[in-house]
Amino acid sequence: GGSCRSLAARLGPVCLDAASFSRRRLSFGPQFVYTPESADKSLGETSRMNLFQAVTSALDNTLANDPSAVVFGEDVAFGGVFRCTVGLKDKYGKDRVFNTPLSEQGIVGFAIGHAVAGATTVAEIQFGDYIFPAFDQIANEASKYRYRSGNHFNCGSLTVRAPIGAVGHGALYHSQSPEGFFAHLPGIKVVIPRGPIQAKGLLLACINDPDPCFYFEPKILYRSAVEDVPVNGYVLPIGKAEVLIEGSDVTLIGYGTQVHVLREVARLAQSELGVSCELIDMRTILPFDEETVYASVCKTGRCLIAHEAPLTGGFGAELAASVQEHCFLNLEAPVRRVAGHDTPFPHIFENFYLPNQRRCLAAIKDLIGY
Amino acid sequence: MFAVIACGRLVQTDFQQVDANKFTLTIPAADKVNHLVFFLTGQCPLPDGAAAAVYLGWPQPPPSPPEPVWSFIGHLTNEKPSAIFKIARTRPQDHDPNHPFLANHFATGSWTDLTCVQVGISIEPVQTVAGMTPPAGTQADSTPTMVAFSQRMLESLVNYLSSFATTPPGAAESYVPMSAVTSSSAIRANLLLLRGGGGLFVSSRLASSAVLSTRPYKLHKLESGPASEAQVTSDEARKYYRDMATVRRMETAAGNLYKEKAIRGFCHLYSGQEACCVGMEAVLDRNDPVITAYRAHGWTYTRGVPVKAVLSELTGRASGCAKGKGGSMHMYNHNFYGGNGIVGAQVPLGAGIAFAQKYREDKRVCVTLYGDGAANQGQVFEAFNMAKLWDLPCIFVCENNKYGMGTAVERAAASTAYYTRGDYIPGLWVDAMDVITVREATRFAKDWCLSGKGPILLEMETYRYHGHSMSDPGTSYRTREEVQSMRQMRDPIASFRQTLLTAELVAEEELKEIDQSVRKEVDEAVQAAKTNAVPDPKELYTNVYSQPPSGQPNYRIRGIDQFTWSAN
Repeated sequence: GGSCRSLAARLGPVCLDAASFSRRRLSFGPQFVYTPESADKSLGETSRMNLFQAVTSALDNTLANDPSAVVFGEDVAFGGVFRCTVGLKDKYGKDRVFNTPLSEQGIVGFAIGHAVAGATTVAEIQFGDYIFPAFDQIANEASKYRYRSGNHFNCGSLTVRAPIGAVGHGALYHSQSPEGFFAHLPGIKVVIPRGPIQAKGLLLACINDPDPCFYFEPKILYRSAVEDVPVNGYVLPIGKAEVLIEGSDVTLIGYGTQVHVLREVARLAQSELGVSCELIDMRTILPFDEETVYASVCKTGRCLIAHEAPLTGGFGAELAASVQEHCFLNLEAPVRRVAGHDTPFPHIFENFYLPNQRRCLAAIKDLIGY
Repeated sequence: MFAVIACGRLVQTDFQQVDANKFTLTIPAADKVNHLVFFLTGQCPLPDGAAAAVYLGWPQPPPSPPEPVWSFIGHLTNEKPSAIFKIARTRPQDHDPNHPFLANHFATGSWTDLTCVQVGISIEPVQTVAGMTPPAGTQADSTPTMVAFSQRMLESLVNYLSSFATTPPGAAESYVPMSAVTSSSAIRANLLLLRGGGGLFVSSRLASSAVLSTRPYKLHKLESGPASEAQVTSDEARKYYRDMATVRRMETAAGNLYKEKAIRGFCHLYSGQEACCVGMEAVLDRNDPVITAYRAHGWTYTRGVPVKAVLSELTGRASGCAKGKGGSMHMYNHNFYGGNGIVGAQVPLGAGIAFAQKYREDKRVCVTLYGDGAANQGQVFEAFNMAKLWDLPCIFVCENNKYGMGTAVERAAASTAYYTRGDYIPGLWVDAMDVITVREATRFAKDWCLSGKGPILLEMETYRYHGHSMSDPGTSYRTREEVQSMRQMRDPIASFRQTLLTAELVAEEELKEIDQSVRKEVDEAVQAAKTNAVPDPKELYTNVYSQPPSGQPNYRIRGIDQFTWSAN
């Protein structure tokens, strides 16, 4: 009706008129173009890999060099539903790469025990949406083991991998981004890569890290992100964010898929608004890189945080609170968050739910015009 | 050891042994052959306890690959060393293209080149073979044709005439008026019957009910099990057939819509498992709550959601049963609690619903379904414990279709006897490819629960023809032959159809009419699902809480930007 027309006026070409949905083919899921990066030359020979192949490569390096290492989860033996473990069982045997029954709580509890006994353990949860039965094990066992035993025991050799994030058609139970829940657990580390080179280096870092790590892979990038990835093992730092684009007016903060959406937002901000944006990829959610974030916001004076997970209590809330605390006198505008709505991840209208380019750009306009 | 004769030709004994217990032979120009005689030559008998199962493999027309499609036609034993089989009707071109389980496999093409048939003989244990059903029309009649024909004619005449019988007032017995006997319509009606025409006549001349046997059950902590025989009326038979055919067709349509990308995301099809939902629903009523997992479209239909609403929910339309907000895995209706995506999560919910029934003293059972994959979830056992501790009227049903996604049951479960895994909860194993077997098991289970004996666990052993979901072809972890052979030998709809025809409960014409009307219904539903209106955009943020949450009349869902809210 009339309200829809006013929406159309403000939004520009995107129209919320219900009738037009049936006529137009709307594209679904996060809207971005993947920009491949290149690895440091010193890391040696590379091979063309997408994100799931980069994960396989990291696991391959691990199984080759660490005799205690095992990889398990649902359906990993044949290669995994996202093909992250293809070929590993054939190469390393079914005692080291094996399937578990459909029991998430069992899988993670079992993995914690195996890690406590000293083995390098990489457990897979098939979709991040299914990790919740295991949440008690993670919250009450994994994160507290070292602390409660006075450093007598720890499950640091544990890494749990899970695919997360919107994919265009995942609906309520195949699209969630649960990193916010895990950011609330001191004692674990939470890492989210943005592409294949990052994925391999960060996963190897997690596996080698002396604390239990939760590694969330943006599933939409498994095939769409392709780069020349070093074939040997290498690590990237955990707990260190990365400035991808330098700018002077607004700091854009994201992680995983959202980094690529924000790249496009930065480009649009420059071309449509003449605004210079600095783009930061957090890479590690917990413990997050305060230094890089505060340095950037103190420089630009404006901060926009974007994530797919719902707004209230999302990780952006922690970032926003910390930024305003440390950069208050440098802020020209309140810290803004553009996030998923406070609803379950929807079956319909996904592209209105996600923090898409238009919503982010609208927030930048508000920041500049404050 | 074996020989075969096609009428008018030399005997063929050139069987090739292709496996330890399998032999094959090719019969050329088999499109001209109507009967085949198989016999043991007497050179050496079959091993004790073994039978020779006879299969025919007709080549498939292009564009299918040239491997033959095998169908079981009968068997030989030492006690029955020879048999005649009619093979004309096993030829694919003679099959009814509207037949439910051939709908997807039948391809049009020229048959003139594909005239050889392969014969396969497999030595298998007698028990296995005894349970297999050959297709209709392959068993030769042993009675002379004239005698059989006359018998039928007399029976139908008696049926017809006795329908006119009346008891005059004060008479001790009933009489048939002479006008019925002498009228020419009597003869005409019977001739029509024998020619198989005239639906109305045919349906009133068939049996109105029949006693059918159920397949054997296995018991766990039960003294006795469900009935081995069941009375089925022709109305019931028609209903079960129609419901199963509708579910099958609806799932096929959903699969096609998915391939056209009208449905996106996840879609788990129920084809092959129809006897489970239809058989159980035959005993339940709409006041018995049901909760299941994500392979839910069949249950959604039997719970009263029309095909149109199911398909619209899949395509995300406002006419969908969850307003388009749930999709494939989240369909609901009165006393149907979904439709659940997280594996196993629905089982404790089912125990809770059963508790509510008991608390309110409703004489109802809650049917809580889960799959073989979910059977290894911890929360399932938590639910079992609570249900047994508190004697909840809960029928736990494990729909065991042998594969949890791509994992065969043996590789996931330390015990695959799912009907025993309730331990202290009595259990029943049910061959869920037969709808009457399922029905009687459900009747037994419902009586059990309602008599205050607490929960019971049913394992429905069934099979799904499609992969786990539309993203799974379903052939990387099982062979095509396995799927084909299930479709041909144990299909719930085809075998029920044959049972009905043999028992003369329903006429073939009626079944054809049902098939056609089902097809029409589903086709119309597909159209609606493709063209109906999408939901209003405000559905994106409605129903998160009750609207608005009490005490906060101005509550707005956070994160929604200003411009979206101005639509309100």
